[in-house]
Amino acid sequence: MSRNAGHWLRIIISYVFLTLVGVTMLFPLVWMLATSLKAPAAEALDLKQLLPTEKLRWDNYAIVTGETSFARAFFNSAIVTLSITFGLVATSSLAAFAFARLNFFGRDKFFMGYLATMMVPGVVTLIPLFILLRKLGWIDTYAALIIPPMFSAYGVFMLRQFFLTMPRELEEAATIDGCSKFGIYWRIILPLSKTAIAALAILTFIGTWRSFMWPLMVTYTNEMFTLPVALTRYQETYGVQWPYLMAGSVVLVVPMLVVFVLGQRFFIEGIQVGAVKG
Amino acid sequence: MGKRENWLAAWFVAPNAIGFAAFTLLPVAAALLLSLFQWDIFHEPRFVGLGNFRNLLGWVNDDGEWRAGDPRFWQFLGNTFYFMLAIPLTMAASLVLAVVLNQKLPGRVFFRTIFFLPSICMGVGVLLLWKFMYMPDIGMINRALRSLGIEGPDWLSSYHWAKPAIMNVGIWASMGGTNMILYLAGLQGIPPEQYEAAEIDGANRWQQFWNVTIPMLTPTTFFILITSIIYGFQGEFDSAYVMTQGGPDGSTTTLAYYIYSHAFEYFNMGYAAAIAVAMFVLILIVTLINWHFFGSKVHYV
Amino acid sequence: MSSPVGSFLRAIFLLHAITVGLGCGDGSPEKDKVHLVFAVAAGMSERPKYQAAVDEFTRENPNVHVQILEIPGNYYKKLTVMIAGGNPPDLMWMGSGFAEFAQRDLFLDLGDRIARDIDPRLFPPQTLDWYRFNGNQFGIPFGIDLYFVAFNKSLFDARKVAYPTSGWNYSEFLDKAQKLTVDEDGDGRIDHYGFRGEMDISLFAASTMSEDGQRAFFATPQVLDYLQVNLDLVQKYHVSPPGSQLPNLVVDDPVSVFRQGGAAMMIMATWDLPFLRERCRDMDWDITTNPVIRRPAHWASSQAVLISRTTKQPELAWTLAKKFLGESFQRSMADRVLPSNQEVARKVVLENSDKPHNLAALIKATNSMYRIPSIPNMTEIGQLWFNARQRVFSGRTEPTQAMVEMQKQVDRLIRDRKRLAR
Repeated sequence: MSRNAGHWLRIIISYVFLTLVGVTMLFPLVWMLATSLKAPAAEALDLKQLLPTEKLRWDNYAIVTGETSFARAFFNSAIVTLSITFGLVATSSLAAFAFARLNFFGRDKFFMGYLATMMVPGVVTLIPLFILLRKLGWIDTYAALIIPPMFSAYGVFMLRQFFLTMPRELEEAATIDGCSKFGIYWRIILPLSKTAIAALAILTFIGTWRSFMWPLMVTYTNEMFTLPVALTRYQETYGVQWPYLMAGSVVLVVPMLVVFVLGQRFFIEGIQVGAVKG
Repeated sequence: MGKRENWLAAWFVAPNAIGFAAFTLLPVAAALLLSLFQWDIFHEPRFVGLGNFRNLLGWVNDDGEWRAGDPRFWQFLGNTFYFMLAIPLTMAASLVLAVVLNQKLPGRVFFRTIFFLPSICMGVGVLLLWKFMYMPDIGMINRALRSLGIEGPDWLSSYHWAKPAIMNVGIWASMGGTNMILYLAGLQGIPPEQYEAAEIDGANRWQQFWNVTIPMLTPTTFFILITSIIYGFQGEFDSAYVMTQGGPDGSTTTLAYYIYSHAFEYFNMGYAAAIAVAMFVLILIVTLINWHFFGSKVHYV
Repeated sequence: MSSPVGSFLRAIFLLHAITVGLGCGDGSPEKDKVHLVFAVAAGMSERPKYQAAVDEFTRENPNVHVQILEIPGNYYKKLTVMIAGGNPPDLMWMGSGFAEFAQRDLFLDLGDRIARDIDPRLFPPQTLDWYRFNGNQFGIPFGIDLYFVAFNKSLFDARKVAYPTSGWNYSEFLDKAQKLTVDEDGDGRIDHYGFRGEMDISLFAASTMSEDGQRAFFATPQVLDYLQVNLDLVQKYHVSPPGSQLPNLVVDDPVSVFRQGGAAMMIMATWDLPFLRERCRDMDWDITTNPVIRRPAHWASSQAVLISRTTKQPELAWTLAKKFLGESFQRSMADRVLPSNQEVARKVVLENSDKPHNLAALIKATNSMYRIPSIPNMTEIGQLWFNARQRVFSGRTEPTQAMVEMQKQVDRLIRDRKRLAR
């Protein structure tokens, strides 16, 4: 492969493009950080006064995280998000495998049914679902926070589409060797789908971690609040306490960034379909 | 043979299907059923058959003139379609970003994270910041334009500019988000041998992009397209709620917002469900059309 | 099962066990006590005030356990969901959402209890009307929010304009606004506006709906007067920036705008006072009552604690509700909402040394407060009104035409709802 001028030009253009556009992407986080270090009475919305003028208020973070409800809310978020991520990925991958590779009665119609549920907005399903949970006695419990969100059709749809793209030669070879369907799922499909599974896990983690409306609706007591709900308490009836809200929001964003960055190791070239050749 | 797979399939599908049936399917069915009732939430629902649909979709003769039963519905339907014009833009942007960030550039994880930031920082705070930036006299955007000698419009209060202004926020927030990740995943799945073979055949990078990357990405593109359409029909609530409250004069109200208004502001749950049914049918039809039209073009291995 | 999955599952189960163990102790009802559930829309700084009042009640009634439900954000939506689930709280905070909930029989009629226990002389006459609907009285507000005019003294000083005083009229207002609208650098663009906000409709002796909500009066001279005067401020006298009366842009953060010199005078409300005090500490500012345009008036809203109709403990709930009409709670909330209890209000004014120095004027203004009547279909009509005002104030539609259309739409809506109710 020759490293010609075109190669370097491409690299330079890439970096210039990334930097220009990247700067615009960065500003909300910069704004959140800057605002979180301001005094409680400082101006938040005017970008001309973006940077704090007085001493940096690191103690805003101490105040926010020191709130008695904060630790509990963080803990709740962690439990709920991890459980949902694991549960959703596990059950969705099993079901997606069935839809992609197994032949059963009514399979495609059933799958369309899955898809159809994505076409009805949560606004109208909220109350029926709430009533159901009340009858189960799950309101204000972890069950209500964790179980219903695990069963969205998005994950099944996504993995089914991905599984459909996997080459069948390996599976056929394994079947000839006497491997069970579950074995194919466990030893062939899953390892080769690391990237897709990782993508789904990351997206689920992030979506759940920052989800606000559902936990708000099914929890009553402060002890069951998740972090986004607890942070909303800085939005008063008629006004916002910006520095505290932003400090809390920064704390909210950090785990999502960590998960994203750690998950990137599944997105590095090389860990992929090369198995067929050898 | 078929029967054995039925039994086996049940084991695979059951863990998901049971929960799905209880917590997703059942509420959806109940919600759709609600459209046949009039329910103000505080009292018992009252069966009205197709009454809600007649009000929603029918035509009424009032004071001697014919008018649409619910003219707002059609206006908001139009708004929803308008907002969905952002879909191809966002998909293209995500694709470009993913391709650029898939190269072996040092710092690509850093850049990927930066582009991903808006989609996770999105919240009431950032939306209020955008709203402030859009303010005509003291907002950042018009100030910047003024320094270039352009007098910017009253973005969020202008009938013409409110929708693009909100779409802009949406595109900015989501182009580095979910779809970019999915395209990155899709790009990972393209075996390097395909590129090598193309290069041996004398294709330059541009031709490789068109003849290898795009076709190999069709499954991902297909998935993104279908989900974008499904969610696009139900979208644009948060930003419109915070920035314009559906205005000016309903120009940034989408069907999703309208459903919310009827459900939680006017306490007209049955009617809200009827709108949801209408929207559901529409999404289903559009999705099926797209499924058959684009599905045949998808290049599965 | 392979090891990492297994240990992960074990970790989850363990964490669950711990949390269940932790969760068990909290909020678990003690069997021998009476329970009241009280829903509040309070944020971080308001919660302790409600808590203090509840604690006082609990001390006096030790056999009662009160669970405070803090609902941050989307208060009415969550309340609706709770009610739909068949579980309304015993007591609930209530504000502008009152009409819709009252229309649907959510609240307990407190008329008898109020007559029995409340001294009407303590509350301004109109106060008792706030939470009346269809002839029933569902409560008394603990706090009153008023609109007023906040003004930037430094800008006034710079242009040598006299500060506004209570009772000032429209021509005085206009005169000051014009003197305070300046183009400092002579570039043809106004740098500081004299006034920002909407001159409320109450100042024009106009009522848009009848008390029972069955008749609409939009296409009347008074309403047109209101629209035209506001439009003139922008289009004719140029003392306000374009769009400054648009409802969606008026709402959010007037204090930020005020602080940046967005205008010398701005309409604000009592709920902005804490933020004014905090963020404008280094500014010289004060407040005054609205100018008298066609009549003295102050648009107001109120906050109250009301009781659910289906509560199992009406007497105890009423005892708790009365706490919010008492001195200690009203004092604690006085920094952001005017106490409805006149005695408390008087004391607060006497003891007030902080800005705004003109607080007494506000208290006096409660005598001319204007409230929107609580009518059926209030939100839907409100939405139509919101859209109509946007059309007019953005210049898209002429006032007369907009009001004729509005009248037609509201008449149609009322007719449709009546038809549905049959």
